[in-house]
Amino acid sequence: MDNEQSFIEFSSLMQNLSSIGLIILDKRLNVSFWNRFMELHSHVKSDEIINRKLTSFFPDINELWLSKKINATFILGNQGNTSWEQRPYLLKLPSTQSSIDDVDFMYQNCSYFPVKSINNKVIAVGIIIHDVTEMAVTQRLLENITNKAVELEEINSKDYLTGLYSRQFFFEQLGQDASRCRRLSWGLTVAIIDADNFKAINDVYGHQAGDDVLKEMSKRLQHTLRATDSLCRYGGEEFALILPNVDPEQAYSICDRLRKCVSTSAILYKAKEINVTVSIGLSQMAASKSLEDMIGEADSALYVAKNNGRNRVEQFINSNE
Amino acid sequence: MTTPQTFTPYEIDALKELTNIGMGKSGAMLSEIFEHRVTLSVPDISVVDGDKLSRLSEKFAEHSQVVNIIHQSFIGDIEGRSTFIIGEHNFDGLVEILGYDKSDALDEKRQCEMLLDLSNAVNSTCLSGLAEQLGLDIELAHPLIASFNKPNSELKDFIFIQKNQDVYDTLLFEIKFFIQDLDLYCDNVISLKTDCLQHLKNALGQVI
Repeated sequence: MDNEQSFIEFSSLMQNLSSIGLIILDKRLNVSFWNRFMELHSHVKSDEIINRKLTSFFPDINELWLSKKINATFILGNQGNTSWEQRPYLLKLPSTQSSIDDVDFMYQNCSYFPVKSINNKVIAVGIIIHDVTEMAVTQRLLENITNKAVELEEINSKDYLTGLYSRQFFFEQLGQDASRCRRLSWGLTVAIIDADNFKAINDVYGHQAGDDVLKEMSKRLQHTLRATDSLCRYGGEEFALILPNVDPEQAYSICDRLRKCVSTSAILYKAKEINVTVSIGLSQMAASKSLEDMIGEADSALYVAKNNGRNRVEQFINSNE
Repeated sequence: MTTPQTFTPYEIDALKELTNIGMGKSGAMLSEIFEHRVTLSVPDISVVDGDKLSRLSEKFAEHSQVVNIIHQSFIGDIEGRSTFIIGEHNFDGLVEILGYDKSDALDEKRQCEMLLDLSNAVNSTCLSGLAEQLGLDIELAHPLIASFNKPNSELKDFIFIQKNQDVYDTLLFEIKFFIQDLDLYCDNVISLKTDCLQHLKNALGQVI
């Protein structure tokens, strides 16, 4: 008798709970318990829904799915969950957050737990509904801001005209690639690529033509490279390239391919054929030199390529050795 | 600082035996829920170090180019984490056994939910099976997606990194889960926290 009395008290405590939703369902999805939270948010009174099928009040629930979920809880005798991140809500209830104008329903985290009899047999399944609208909206806001920040970083690291990485990005990337290649005992080559006689193109065809030539050149160079290579616009008509995990011979043949991909066919600008060539200077990473030294060496090699008649690839050769 | 616990070959054998009994029951329950024959087996239980964990992640990586990993912690008399690993596969089978709509097979959020459901079901049965055999009380926390459709090269970083825990001297249960009709195959790795190994040893002592 005492037990029964305390059960009724406990049940009325749960009934009056208005901060979380509590529903109890039998195997056929008939409602046997519907607390005050549920009444307030769904505008369905306990008297109306008790002994009626839940899905007859909420027709947009996938009934087969819910039956399987309830059945699994019956058999396993363990708790299951659904999270707003995958399933925004179990029951479509209006949002109570009137200040958030683009949210018109309550985001819910739900737990499905077995209701057991004294002899440990599962006799029903309870569902607890947590209103997580505020959390969901905050997280969505945070995701939007993060996406914007990533976009901004992307814009900052890209050159506006060619879509290649910017000079600033080049130095960051070179630092990262160099430390990775050192750690793995891989080779690394830096190349400086410069368009030959570019000033003449601007003078003869105009700056718009010059810009179009740079765009087309960038496209051809980028297509010839691997995904792990980083091509950057270093200056006006100058490009810098990082080639990780290559030996000097491989680097030379990659760069010669780059040279050919530019010179092989003329670039079209307003039905005019513009012939462009590039000169390339290379330098390899070594323990004895800094990254700045390496760029300086590639620059000197480029100078040699220009002096030797342009449209050439030159390795840096240390004259002191 | 807890001292590392060692298990004798006899104790490991007994654990294997108990776990296999637990798996038999789990398989029967899961077969009932999924309405297809489910096979569970425990090929290995071992005290592991970092090397063994690396080899294990290499082994998993061989099966599939991409991996999905679901973590689920458990607390109580023994504590730790289960790592549910499932490779690239077709969701049509899961849609059927979990009662989803056909169109859900292509919806990434629903795919995640199916993986969470599957992981929770398998973990519930495996862990409660084990706990029951050993007379221990444990409760599962919510499962969390640690990696969804990621290249398998990331596997090593995801599986065994555990906050505030040395990976050394962890007791590891490898469980294989298989639904032949659907050609659905998953691995479940249960690792126990170092500081609850003594508790497990005691519980084991009571049973054997």
